[in-house]
Amino acid sequence: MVNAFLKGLFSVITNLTSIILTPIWVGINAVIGNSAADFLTPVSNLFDYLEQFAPLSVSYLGLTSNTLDIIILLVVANITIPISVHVVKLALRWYSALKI
Amino acid sequence: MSDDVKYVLKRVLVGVLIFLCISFIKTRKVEALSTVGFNTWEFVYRDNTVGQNWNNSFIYRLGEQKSLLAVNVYWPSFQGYYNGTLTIQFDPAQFSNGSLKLTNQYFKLFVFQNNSYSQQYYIGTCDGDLTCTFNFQGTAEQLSTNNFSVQLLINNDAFSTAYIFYPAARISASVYVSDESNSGNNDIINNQNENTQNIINNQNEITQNIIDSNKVCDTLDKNDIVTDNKYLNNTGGYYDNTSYGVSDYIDVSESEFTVINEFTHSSVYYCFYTDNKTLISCSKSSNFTNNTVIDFPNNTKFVRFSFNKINNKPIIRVCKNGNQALNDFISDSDVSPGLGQDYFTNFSDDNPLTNIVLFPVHLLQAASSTCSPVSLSVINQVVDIPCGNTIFWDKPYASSFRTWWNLFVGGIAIYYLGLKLFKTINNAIDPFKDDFEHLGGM
Repeated sequence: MVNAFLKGLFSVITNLTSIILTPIWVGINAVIGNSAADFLTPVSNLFDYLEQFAPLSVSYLGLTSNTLDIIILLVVANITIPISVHVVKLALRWYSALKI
Repeated sequence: MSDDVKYVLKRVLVGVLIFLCISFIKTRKVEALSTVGFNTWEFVYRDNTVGQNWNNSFIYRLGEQKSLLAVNVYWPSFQGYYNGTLTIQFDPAQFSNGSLKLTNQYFKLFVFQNNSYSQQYYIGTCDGDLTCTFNFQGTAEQLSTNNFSVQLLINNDAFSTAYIFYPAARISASVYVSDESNSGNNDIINNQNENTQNIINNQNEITQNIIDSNKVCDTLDKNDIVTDNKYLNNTGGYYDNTSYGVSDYIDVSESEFTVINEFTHSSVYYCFYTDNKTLISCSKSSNFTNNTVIDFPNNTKFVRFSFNKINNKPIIRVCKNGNQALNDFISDSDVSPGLGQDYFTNFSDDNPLTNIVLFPVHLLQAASSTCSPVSLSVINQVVDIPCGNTIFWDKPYASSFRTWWNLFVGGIAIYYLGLKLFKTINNAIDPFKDDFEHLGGM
């Protein structure tokens, strides 16, 4: 369940960011052409290259799976609690506005 | 005692308690694992001397894709007798008793003779706690190519649903081959053949059910070959072979798109590509069963297949989940001919800007995924860096070090994350402190 939640959270963040940035990217390309892609693609590729070392680095930490599970769960909790609170606040604001 | 000292002492006490908790969790004896980091492995025994023992072992890290482990044994051309075992053992330091159950959904073992699908003998499945052992024996027929192989089918999907981090396992195998006759082995092989046929029949039925539920299907055969007399190697390049042909790039951008094999056939080679047809990876499947479904790697847009065209049978059935009846009534082109396709073509969400902004998320995602070995090219030399989280296997003297290492590194990380969580919860306790004006109507 934690695994599914984690994947779902990443998917939501990725897709929402993509929805926001894709029109911006299309606009940039429309204005300045391919030079933006020529500049940013190598940077993007560099990040892709660096990402493959992340699981390798974690594996070389030598931590057991139990410890890693606890760390991941705490990170997820730290991320999701503020998001959940803000969502509740937003819902209450909408409720309040509609009630008035 | 000042408040500052009390503050520090409280946190030191919390840290010590966390250390003690982890030490209780991780005081099991650490055995296991020397090196790791590959999805497939093959042991090859090449010795023309009859009557020798062969054995070896290695560590296998479960990956994200279904994979096949092949243990190939070659011997001289004679009717021989083989007797062997294959053992799968998980690190007892990672799994306390009962925390991992090996079931028949994880492993299946087959014996192949002469690399022929028709000479496949189903051995059995694996049930146990942390260790399971397959025993196999039988008589190999007179073989023109002098080999048979023991192949272990590993379904890693089953693990991915149960664990965030994929476990590593030691897989060891030993085979003894001789020219001694053994009349009892014929019965064994006959039983194995019968079992295999039952499995194939069941798989046929399952495949048919899958195909029936998918309304949109197409079948690849030799008419779909666009590059003849070649097949794809593991880097996406061509190898010459007059028996093979390569298909065009098949668009698999729909997430529901699957490929279902429906043939009794020799090897199929296939490669995955991104939307700009950059190679992601290639794979070879020499023992597709009738309900094998290929899983696509992330970012796969196109797939190319290369397959043997000799027997003129359907090769691959490709299907997309959907409602055929609905598609018959209305489609995008019916509503707005050309517009939908033209407008949304190349409207990709995989652009460099998004990729750069999402780098921290991707990094966290990658850090929590399966470790894969990395290959670096250094002065024309390829250097492989294997995964290292199992460096304590077979090093009992390092077990205490690992315990303390977990206490210090893991404990400190958990301590600070715990503090962060405490502050987060504190902030969340009074979430409306800045919002009274918004809630006045309630």
